[in-house]
Amino acid sequence: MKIFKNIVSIILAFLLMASILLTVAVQIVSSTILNKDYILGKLEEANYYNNVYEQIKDSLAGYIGPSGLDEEVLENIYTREQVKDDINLIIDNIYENKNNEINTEEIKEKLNNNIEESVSTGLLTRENRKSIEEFTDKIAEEYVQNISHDPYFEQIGKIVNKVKVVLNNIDGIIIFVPIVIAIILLLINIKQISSGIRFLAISILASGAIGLIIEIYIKSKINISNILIINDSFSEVIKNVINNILNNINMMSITAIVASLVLIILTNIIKVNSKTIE
Amino acid sequence: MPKIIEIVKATIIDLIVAFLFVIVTLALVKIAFGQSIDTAIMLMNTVAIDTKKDVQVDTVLENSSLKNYPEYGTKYATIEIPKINVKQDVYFGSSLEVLKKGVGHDSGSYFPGEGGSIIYMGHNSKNVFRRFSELQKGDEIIVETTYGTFKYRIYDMQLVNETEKDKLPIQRDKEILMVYTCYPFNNIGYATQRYVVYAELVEE
Repeated sequence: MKIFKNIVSIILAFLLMASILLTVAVQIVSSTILNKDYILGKLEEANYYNNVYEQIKDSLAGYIGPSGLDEEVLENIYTREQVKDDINLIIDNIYENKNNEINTEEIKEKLNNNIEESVSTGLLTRENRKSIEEFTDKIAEEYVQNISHDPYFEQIGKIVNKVKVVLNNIDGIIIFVPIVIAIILLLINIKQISSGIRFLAISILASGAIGLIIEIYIKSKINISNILIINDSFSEVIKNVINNILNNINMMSITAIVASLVLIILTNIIKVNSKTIE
Repeated sequence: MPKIIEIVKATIIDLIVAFLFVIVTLALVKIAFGQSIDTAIMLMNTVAIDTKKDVQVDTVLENSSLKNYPEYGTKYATIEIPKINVKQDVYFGSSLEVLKKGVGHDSGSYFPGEGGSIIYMGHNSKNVFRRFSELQKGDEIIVETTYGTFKYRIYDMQLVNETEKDKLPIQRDKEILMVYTCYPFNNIGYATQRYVVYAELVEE
């Protein structure tokens, strides 16, 4: 009977470990990558809004060379606040499955005014007006592209929403699975509760060790500091998020290992002492 | 003392059980998701290359094929068009960032000496290709690379729309240098037409 109880306890402890790992993984994904507020915080932290503002400035300047226009025509056609609002609009699209579009009418209008002011009226022929219109359209397109990064962000939005739907379905249930297994484990070992706690501690110890192995494995296999996706500003955010997640895993794993080791030693002391008393 | 030994023994047994849990889990993960994990890591590593490594490798032309292609955005040649007094650096790449520095080389086209279509582009600004309209058939274009000098002779000029990619065909039957700039040359705004100069290799 005792052997049977031990075998069942070991199987339950293994299942407990697996469910802890799964629950922690779901919680990490839900609270980081799938959390709009977390991402907005990371954008701020990585100075993303300002970087994109500067990046737009550089991109637009590339159109000046062949345009025959002065660089001043690009001055004050958009603001840092506008860039921030438009980036947040795209983040809304990704996380809330919206389809908002960036309004570039104001940019076009300001750009047109600047061009009218800088170019002498004699040069504003019908043909030139047409290419000026093409120019303002290109500038507006470039502005939108630097913010929305189509089609990449659109793809990210689709993936985020798919994962969100799956996780929303299991999020409520998954947290109870380890709790239920832990209760069953304790109930099986109710006569010798220290054994039950020992099995719990073994599960937590194994979960912590696996977490630590995953963190070390990822860090050794991927050169995170060199990640380059889309551009430098976006890569900075990605690197920040990955490092943050790995640091959280590291902290949780070490805490779990230390706590479970203490628990294992304590329960073994209790077990040996109770044997001596008997 | 025997108590301590017993506690240590029990603790070691528990650690072994936890260790076995870890081994079994990792083995199961490897069996179930091993390939997906390897693919994911490979994909991540394709975007995590150390670009700051200072590797200086010379570009060499061997049997009409380049060894050690220049890195994107780097200068690897100069283009000289004596007729219109142009001498510009040529950079590998065609982004607006590259064109701010000088003449760009379409990364989808061949390199001088490889025996195929070479596509260069530059702004129509004063110091680059503003005087393109003065070029005529028979005029020379000299491209001096880090691995050799190539002389081309202009045999045609065409005005094309920016969307007409077929006017700049990529082939490897004959070495043709196609250089283009925006048209009209004194345009104000965004030019949708390109003035293309076609030149064939005459001396290597």
